Amino acid sequence: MSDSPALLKPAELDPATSITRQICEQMDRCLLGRESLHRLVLTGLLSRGHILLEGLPGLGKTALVRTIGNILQLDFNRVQFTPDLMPGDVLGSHILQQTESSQREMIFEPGPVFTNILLADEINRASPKTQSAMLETMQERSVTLRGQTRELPQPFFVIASQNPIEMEGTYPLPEAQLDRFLFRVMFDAVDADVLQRIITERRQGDLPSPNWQASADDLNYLFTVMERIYLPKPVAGYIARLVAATHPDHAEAPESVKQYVQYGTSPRAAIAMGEAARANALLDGRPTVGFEDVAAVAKPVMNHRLILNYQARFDRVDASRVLTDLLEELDETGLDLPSDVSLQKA
Amino acid sequence: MSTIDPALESFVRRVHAMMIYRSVLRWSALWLMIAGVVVLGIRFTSDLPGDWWKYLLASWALLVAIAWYRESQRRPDPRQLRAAFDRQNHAGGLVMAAAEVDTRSWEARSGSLALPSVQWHSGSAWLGTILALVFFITALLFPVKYARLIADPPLEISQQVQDLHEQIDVLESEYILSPQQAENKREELDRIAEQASGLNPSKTWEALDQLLQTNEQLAQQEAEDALSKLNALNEASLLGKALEMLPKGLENQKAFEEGLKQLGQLMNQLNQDGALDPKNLPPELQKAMQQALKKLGEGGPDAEQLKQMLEALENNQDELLDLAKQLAQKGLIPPNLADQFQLGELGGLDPGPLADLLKQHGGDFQELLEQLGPELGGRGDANRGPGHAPLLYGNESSEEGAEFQEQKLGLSVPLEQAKLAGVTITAPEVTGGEAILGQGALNTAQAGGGNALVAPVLPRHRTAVKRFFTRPGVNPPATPE
Repeated sequence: MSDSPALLKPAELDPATSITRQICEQMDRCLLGRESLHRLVLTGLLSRGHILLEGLPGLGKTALVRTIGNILQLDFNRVQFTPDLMPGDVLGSHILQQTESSQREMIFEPGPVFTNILLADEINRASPKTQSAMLETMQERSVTLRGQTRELPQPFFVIASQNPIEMEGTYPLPEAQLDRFLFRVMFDAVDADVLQRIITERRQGDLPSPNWQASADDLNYLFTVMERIYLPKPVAGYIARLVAATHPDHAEAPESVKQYVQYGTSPRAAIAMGEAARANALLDGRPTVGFEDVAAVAKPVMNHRLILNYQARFDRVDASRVLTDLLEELDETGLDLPSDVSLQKA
Repeated sequence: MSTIDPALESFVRRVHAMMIYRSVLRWSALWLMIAGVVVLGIRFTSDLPGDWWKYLLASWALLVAIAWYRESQRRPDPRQLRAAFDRQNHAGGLVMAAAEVDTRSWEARSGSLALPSVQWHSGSAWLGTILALVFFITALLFPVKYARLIADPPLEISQQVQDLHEQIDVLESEYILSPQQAENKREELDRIAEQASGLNPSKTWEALDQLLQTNEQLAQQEAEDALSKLNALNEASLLGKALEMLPKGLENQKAFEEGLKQLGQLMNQLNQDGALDPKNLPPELQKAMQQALKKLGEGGPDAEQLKQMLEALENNQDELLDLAKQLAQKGLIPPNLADQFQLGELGGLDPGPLADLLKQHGGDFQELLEQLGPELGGRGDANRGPGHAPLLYGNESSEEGAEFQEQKLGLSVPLEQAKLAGVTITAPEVTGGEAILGQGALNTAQAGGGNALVAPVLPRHRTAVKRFFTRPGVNPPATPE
C-alpha cells in the first residue's frame, strides 16, 4: 500500500469541489432547467474531452457554450459549418503579405480553431474534407499547415452540434470523427414550467451575466485534482468489461448487443469512460471512482461509438436502449452469486 | 488496518453463511425425498430399525458438512465481495480503494458502513423442502398394511389349504401316501399358500387344482382297488355264511362235507381269478385266508375255522368301508363311487336263500353254481368290466318239427340290367322259374341250384356262429360254404 499513489486528502479535494459546485450553480443560473446537462458538459470539460451536442435548433446549444466560456473566462469562437466551408476557414491560412521592408511573405492567419472553446455549429453540414481537418485539432490539439505544427491554446475544447432531423445536404460524421468526441449529449426540450420561467425571466433571449467566474488557476487546479482522483481496480475492471461486452462476440455481451450491434466500442471509449468517471467523482466530491460514476457517464460516452446493424434500424432500436440493457445485465462487481441470491442495502 | 475491514469481514461471513444455508436447504429437500423413498422401501419389505432416526440425523449432518465444504470451495472472490459491499453502501469506490490505498482520512467522513443484507428468494426451495418433509412424514406414517393390500392383494385360500391338508392327512393315515410323499405334498401346499397373490390368482388356483386332482386320482385309484377287494370279500363272505347256515339244514354230515369241499373249490377258483389275491387283502385277512385256504386244500376247515374266517372277512369289510367313508367325507372320491361301496355291503345279499338253494340241491354245488352264476358273477357293474359271468347255454329250444316256408325268390340281377315287364299296382306275379332264369345270368345253371347272394358272416359274429354249430350233442346243420 505504501507504493500506491496517495489518495487525495479532504482538504485537497474540498476546494475543487467548491469550484465545480460554483460553476454548476452559475450555469444553472444562466441556463434554466438544464442541471443534468450542465453537469454532464462540465464533466466532459474536466475530462478534457470534446462534446457533440445533438438537438433541435433553438434549444440553447450556443447559449450553453457561450455561458461556459464566460464562467470559465475562456476564449470562445463559433463556426457555422456549411457545405462550402473550407478547412482553411477553420484552421487558418497563409496569406501573401507585404512587410514593412517591402518584402512579400506568406503570413499565417490563424483560423477560429485557435481558441479555448470552439463551437462547431451543425458540424455535419461541412464537407468531409473540412470535417477531416478537425481530426488533428481534436486529437492532437494542434494544427499542421505547410509543414508547420502550431499548438492550440490550452485548454481546448470542441463543442459541436448537429441537427438530427434535417439530414438533407449533410455529411454524416465518420466513425473516426465521432470517436474523438468524449460525449454525445442529447439536447432535449425543456419542461413547460422551465419554458414559463424562460419567457418571464429571459426577455429577448438575453443571457444574464455570471456573478462568479472561475479563474485560470481554478481551472488548472481542477485539472490537477482530476489527475489524482483514484480509480480502483474493480471499477477499472468494470469499465473494461463494459466496453468489451459491447462487442457481439464477447462472452458477457447481453442479448441485445448480440442482436443489434455490429461493431462495439474502441479502447478509446474505455479511456474516455475512466476519465469521465473521475470527473463525475470530482463533481460529487469524492476522491475515488465508484460504479455509480461509471453508470452516470457510460451512455454519453458510448452511445455514439456503438455501430448498430440494420436489424436495429428495422426494429427501431437505438444505441441508448442497447446500452440500457447492457448496464442492467452486466453486474458491476462480477460477483458470481446464484440468480436467486441478491444483496440488498441494509 | 482500515475501519472498513471488520464490517467487510462480517459481510463476507454473512454471504458465506447464506450460501451454506441455501445449499443445505436445497439439498435437504432432495435428501428428504430420498429418505422418504428409502423409509417406504424398508417399511414395505420389513420393519424400520429401532434407531432409524440416528441414521437419519447422521446422514443429515453429513449433508451439512458436505454443503459447508462445497461452499467453502466456491466462496466468492473477496475483491468482488468488497466491490459488492462498496456498491451496496454507495461508498463511491472508497471501500474498494481501501484495499489499495490509505483511505483512513475519508473513512471518518463516510461514517459507519452498514452491512448489506444477503437475501435469498427461498420460496421455491422452502416449498420444495416442505413438500419433501410432508412426503417423508407420510412415508413414516403411511399405513403400509393397506398399501401392501393394494400392491399385493391377498388371496383367501385358507379354507382350501386346510381341506387339502386334511386330505393329505387322510391319504397318509390310510397308507395311500408314504410319510415322505405326504411331507412333500405339505411343503408344496405351504409354498403355494405363501406365494398366493390376488394379482395373479389363476396361478394359485391352478396349483391348488393340480394338487387336489393328484389327491383325488390317488384316492380314486385306491377306492377302486378297495371296492374290488370289498366285492371279493363279499363273495367269499356270502358263500361262507351260506355254508355256515348249511349244516343246520342238511340231513347228514356227508352233505356238509361235500359243501365245504365245494366251498374250498370255490375259494380256490376265486383265488385263481385274483379275487382273493393276498395282495389285495389286509394283513389279518391275508393270514386268515392263508390258513383257510390251507385247510380247504386239506379237505376243508372245520366250523370253528370257518367262523374265524368269516369274522376276519367282516373286519376287513368294515375297514374298507371306513376307508371309503373317510375318502368320501374329504371329497376325494366321487359320490357315485362312494355309493358303490354302500351297495357293496353284505346286506345287499342274504345268505339264507343261498343256503336254501344248497339244501334243495342236496349239496350239488355244481348245479347250484350254474344257477347262481349270473348272481355271483353278475354283481360286477360297469366299474368291474365285463364281469365273471360264465356263458352258459341250456334249455335250448328244439328244432324238431320246425319247418321253413319255401319261397322262390326273384331275380337277383342288377337293377340296370333288369327289364321292365310292366307296372303293376298289386304284388308282382311269380312266374315260373325256368322261363325267367333263361333270361338271366344263370341261363345255363340248374334251376334252384342256389342263390347267387350269400350273406357274409361278419368277423365279430364268426365265433358265436361257430360255437352255435359246434354245440356238443347237436348235429350241426350244413354250414354254408
